[in-house]
Amino acid sequence: MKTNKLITWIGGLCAFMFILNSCNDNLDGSTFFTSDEMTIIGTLESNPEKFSMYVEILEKTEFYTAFQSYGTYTCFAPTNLAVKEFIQEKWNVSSVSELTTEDQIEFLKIVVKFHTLPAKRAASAFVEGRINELNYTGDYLTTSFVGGGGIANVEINREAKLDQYDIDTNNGLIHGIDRVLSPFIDAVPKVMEDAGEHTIFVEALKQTGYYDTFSVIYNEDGIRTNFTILAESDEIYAENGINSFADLANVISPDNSDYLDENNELNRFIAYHAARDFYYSADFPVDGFVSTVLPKNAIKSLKTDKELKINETEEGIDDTWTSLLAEHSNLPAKNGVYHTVNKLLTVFTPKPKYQIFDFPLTPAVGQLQYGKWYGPNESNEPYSFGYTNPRVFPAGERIRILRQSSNPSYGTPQDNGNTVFNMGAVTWVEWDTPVLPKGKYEVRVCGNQGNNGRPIFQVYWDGQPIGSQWDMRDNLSDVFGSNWKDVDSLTMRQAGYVRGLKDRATGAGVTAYDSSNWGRFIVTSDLLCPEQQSHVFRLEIIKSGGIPIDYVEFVPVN
Amino acid sequence: MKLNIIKIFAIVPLLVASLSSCSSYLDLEPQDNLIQKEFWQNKEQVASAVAGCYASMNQSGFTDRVLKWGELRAEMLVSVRAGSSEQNMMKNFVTPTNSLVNWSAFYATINYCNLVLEFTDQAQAKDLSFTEEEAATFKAEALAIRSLVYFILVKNFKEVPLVLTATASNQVDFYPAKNTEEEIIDQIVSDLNVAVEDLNIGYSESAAYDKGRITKGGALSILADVYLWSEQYNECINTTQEIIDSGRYSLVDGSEWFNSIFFEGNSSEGVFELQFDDLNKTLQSSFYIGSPTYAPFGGLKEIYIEFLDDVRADKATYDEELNSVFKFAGIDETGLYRGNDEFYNTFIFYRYAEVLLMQAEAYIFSTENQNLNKAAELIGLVHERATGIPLDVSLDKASLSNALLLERQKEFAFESKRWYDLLRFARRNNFEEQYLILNLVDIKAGPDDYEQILSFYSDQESYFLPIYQNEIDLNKNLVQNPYYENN
Repeated sequence: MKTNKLITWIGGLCAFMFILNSCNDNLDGSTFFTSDEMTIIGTLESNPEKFSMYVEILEKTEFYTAFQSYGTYTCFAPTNLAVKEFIQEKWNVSSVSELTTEDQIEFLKIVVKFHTLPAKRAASAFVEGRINELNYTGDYLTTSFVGGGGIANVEINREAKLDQYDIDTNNGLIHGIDRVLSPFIDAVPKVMEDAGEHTIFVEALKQTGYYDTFSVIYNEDGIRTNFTILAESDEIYAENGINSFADLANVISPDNSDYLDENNELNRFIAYHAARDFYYSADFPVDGFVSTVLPKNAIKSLKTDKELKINETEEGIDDTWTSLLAEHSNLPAKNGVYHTVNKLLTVFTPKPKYQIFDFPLTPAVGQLQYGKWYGPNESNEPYSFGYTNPRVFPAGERIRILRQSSNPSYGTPQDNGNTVFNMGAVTWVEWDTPVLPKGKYEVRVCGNQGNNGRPIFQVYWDGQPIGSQWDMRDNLSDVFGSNWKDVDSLTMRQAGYVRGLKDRATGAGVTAYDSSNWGRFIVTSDLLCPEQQSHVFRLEIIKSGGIPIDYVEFVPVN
Repeated sequence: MKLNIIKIFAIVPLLVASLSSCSSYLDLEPQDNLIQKEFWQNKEQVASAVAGCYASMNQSGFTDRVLKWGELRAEMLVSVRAGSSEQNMMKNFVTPTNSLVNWSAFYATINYCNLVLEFTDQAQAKDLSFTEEEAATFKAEALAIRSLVYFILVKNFKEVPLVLTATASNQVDFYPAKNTEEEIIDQIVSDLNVAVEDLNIGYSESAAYDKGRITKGGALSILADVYLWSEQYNECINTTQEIIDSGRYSLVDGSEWFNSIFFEGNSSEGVFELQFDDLNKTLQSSFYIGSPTYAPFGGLKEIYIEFLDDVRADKATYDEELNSVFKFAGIDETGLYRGNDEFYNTFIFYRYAEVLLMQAEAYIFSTENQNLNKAAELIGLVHERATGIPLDVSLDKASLSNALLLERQKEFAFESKRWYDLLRFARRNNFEEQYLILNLVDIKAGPDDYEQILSFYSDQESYFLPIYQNEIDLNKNLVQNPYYENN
C-alpha cells in the first residue's frame, strides 16, 4: 500500500511537471547573450553611413577582433568624412582598400592605437587638459572647452570635434569625431615652432641649446622623457617691449652672449621655463612646487578657489603672480605639453613653506588604477613607459596605490579620495622630493601603523641617515596607551609623534586626528636645507614588513 | 491497486484543469481595487481623485525635481554630498541620460488631472447629491494643477508634448510630439482663466486646507507668473491686482518671517503650499543638518550684508556658523535644528511676497503701464518688512530691475525660484542680459574648470533641459531639444 501511495505521488508529480514544462519550451533554438548591447565593432558596423571606413581600417590593422571581444575601451572613431579627408590628404587616395604598403598599414596601426584608450572615459569625465589614461601609443589625448558651446563642441587634441559622444557598447564607449587625430610625432619645441606663436621663445630655445634637450623623446635607457614648457608668446614679449630674440637677450643677459653656458642668464631663464614631467594645468599642485629644468629651482604653484597662481609674491601687499592663458595652454606634443604665460616668467625665489608630499608616482605615468599592482614584471601599463620616482631596491618590486574609504589617509584632489602607497617588503625605496626652498624643516611621516607585520625604517636624506627610526609597528595607542587622546600635544611631541590630520576622514567620518593608526611620526625637527634644491628621501629597512605609507610633511621651523 | 491507478488518473485531470485555467483566471477583476468602469460613480470618488492629483505631487520624484531644476543651475547652493547627476546639473552639464531630467512624475500628475477632467461630468450625472458647481470646482482644481505642472515643464524644457486627454483607453495618442512654448503657454492661460471662475475663494476648515488646495488666489498666482514669463505685463498687473484686492493675503510681520512662513508654514502670506501627511523628504534629504546634501554658496552672506537687521539673514535663510540652509532645516533663532524626523515642512509654491514682486516686475517692464514709482513701492513693501529700512533706489528701469532681482534672491533663497528668475531676466530682448547667467561661471568655477563651465553655460539653448533619453527611445515623434542632439 505504501508503494502504491508513492506511485500515486510520483505519477502525479510527473503529470504536474509535464504540464509545467510544456508551458515554456518555446525558446528553443534561440541564441542567448549576456547582454543585448553590441560590441564596439557591432555598433560601428550598424552605422555604416558613419563608420564603415573606420571599420575597414580596423580590419586592415587587425584590431577588428580585439574590439569584438571582451575588454573595456574608449574608441575615438572618426566618421567616414573624416577618414576620407585624412587619407586623401596623407596618401591622395579615396578608399581604405587602396592602402596596401607596409608603411601605410603601420601608420594606420599607430592611428588606431592613438585613438584608443584602455578604459571607459565618458564625456562627463572630460576636463580642460588631458584625459587621465594614456592611449595605446602611450600618449595623452586632450580635451578642451575653450571653444564654448558645451559638450558637443569639445575639441579633442584641439583638432577634432565630437560628432556623437558616449555611444555605449558592452566592451567600451565610442565617441564619434569629425577629424582623424594626428598621432603625436614631434617633440614640444617642434610643435611650438610649427604653431608659430612663440617664435622669439623658440629662437631662444635654439640659442641656448634647449631645443635639442627638450626634443628628446626617449632617453638612452629607452624610457620616455617628458617636458612641460611655460613660454611667453610673441604677443606677451611685445607687451614687454621685446620684439625679437635680440631684444630678449638684451633684457635678460645684456653682458654675456655665451648662451650655451649653463650659468648664462638667458640660459638659466630658459631652463627655468621647463619642468621634466607632464603638467597639464590641472596637474599643477594646489599648493606646492614644480621643480624646473634649471637646477635647484622651482615654480611655485597655488590654486585658489578661482585660479592657478604661479610664483605669487608673498609679501601680503600688492602681491603679483603669473597666470596661464587658457586658449594657448594645455597644448600637447609627443613628449610633453606647453603653456603660454601671461607675463615674463623670471626666476623666482620662494620662501619656505609647509609642504605635504603624498608618496606619489610622477604625473607622466598617469593616474594608476587603484588596487592594481604595477612593476617591471607586471603586464600593466603604464609601467613600461618608465617611471623613475620612486626607485626601489631590489628592482622589480611591485607597487600599488590603494584607495580605501575605510582609512583617513591623504589624497590629492586629483585622486578624489584617500590613497595609500603600498608595496611588499623591500630593502629600500626612495623618492626625489619637490624642490624645497632653503630653510629649516621638521620632517614627519605617516602611514598605516600599528601592526606587527609592518617595517621599521631609517630615513636617509641625500644619502645620510637622519633622525629617529620610524617603527611602523606602533600606533599612537601602542606608544601612549589606550587613553592616547588625552595625552597633551607637547608630551606627544617629546615622544616623537603628532596626531593625524584633522581634515582627512574615513568614509564614515572618522578623522585621521582621531585614528590611532594615522598619527604622524616626527623623523627630525631640525633638518637644515642650506640650499634651495630637490632632495632624495629614502626609507631603508631595519626590520622588514609590508609597506603601506601615506605621505611626508615638511614643516618650516623658525 | 486499481484504486491507486484511478487515483493517479484522477489527479492528472485535476492538475490539468487547475493549471490550464490560466487564461480565464486572468479575466478575474481585482478584489481589492476598483477598476475604471466601477469608479467615477459619485462625488466622493471624484474628491478622492482630486486628492490623488495633489498626492501625486508630494512624491519626492516630483518635489525633488522642482527643487533641483529651480536651484542647481543657479548659484545659491553648493554640493556637500550631492550625486554626480546633481553635480553635473550644477555645472549646467546635463545629458539626456541624466535621470534628473526624467519628467515621468510630472506627466503622471498631468494624467491624474486629465482623468478628473474627463470623468467628473459622468460621475456628477450619476450622483444626485453632486451639484454642477461642485463638479466645476473639482475640474477647476485639476485644470489649475495641470497648468502649474505644464508651466514647470515649459520653464525647464521650453517645448513639451501637450497631453490634454486622459490615458484611460487605447484610443489615445501614445506618441505625442512636442508643442511649441507659445502653444503651451496659450493653453495654460486659457485653462487658468476658466479655472479661476470656478475655484473657491478659500476653505474655512483649516489653514492647511486653505493653503494646501488650489484656490482662486492660487490659480491667479500661477497665471500671473505665466504672464510674467511670457512677457504679458499688463495682464500680469491685472492678475496680481485681483489677488491683492481679494484681501485674503498679507505679509507676515518681519519678526515672524522665519517662524511663521517656514517653521510653522501655512502663514497668512501663503497662497499655495503643498501639504505633506508624512515628512517632506525633499527638504529633509537636501538640508537635514546631520547630513545635508547642499550648503549655501560662499557669497550668500554678502548679499544680505548691506542691511544689518535683515530678518532673512543669519539663522533664518542660512546659518553663518555652520554654513547650512536654515530656512527649511532650522527651528528658531537660537540655532536649533529640526531632527531628521521633524521635516513637516510644506512645499511653498506661491506666497504673497511673490505676488507683490511679480506685480513690481510687470510695472517695470510694461510698455503701456510702466509705473516705476509703483514698482519701487511694491519692492519696498517686501524690503522694509525684512530690513526695517525703506527701500532707497533711484527710479530708473535698470536700477529698479536690479533691485527687484536682488530682493527676489534674498526673499526666495532656496525656494526653487532663482534659476527661473535669472533665465527670465536674461532672455528678455533675445538674451540681452545673458551676462546674468554667464556671471554664474565666476561663482561656480575653480582653478581647473573655468573654461569647461563657461563652455557649458555659453549656449542659450543649454538653459533648457534635454528630454530624457528613454522618452526619446520610446516615442518616435519626440525630437530632442536642439542643444542636446548627439548623432
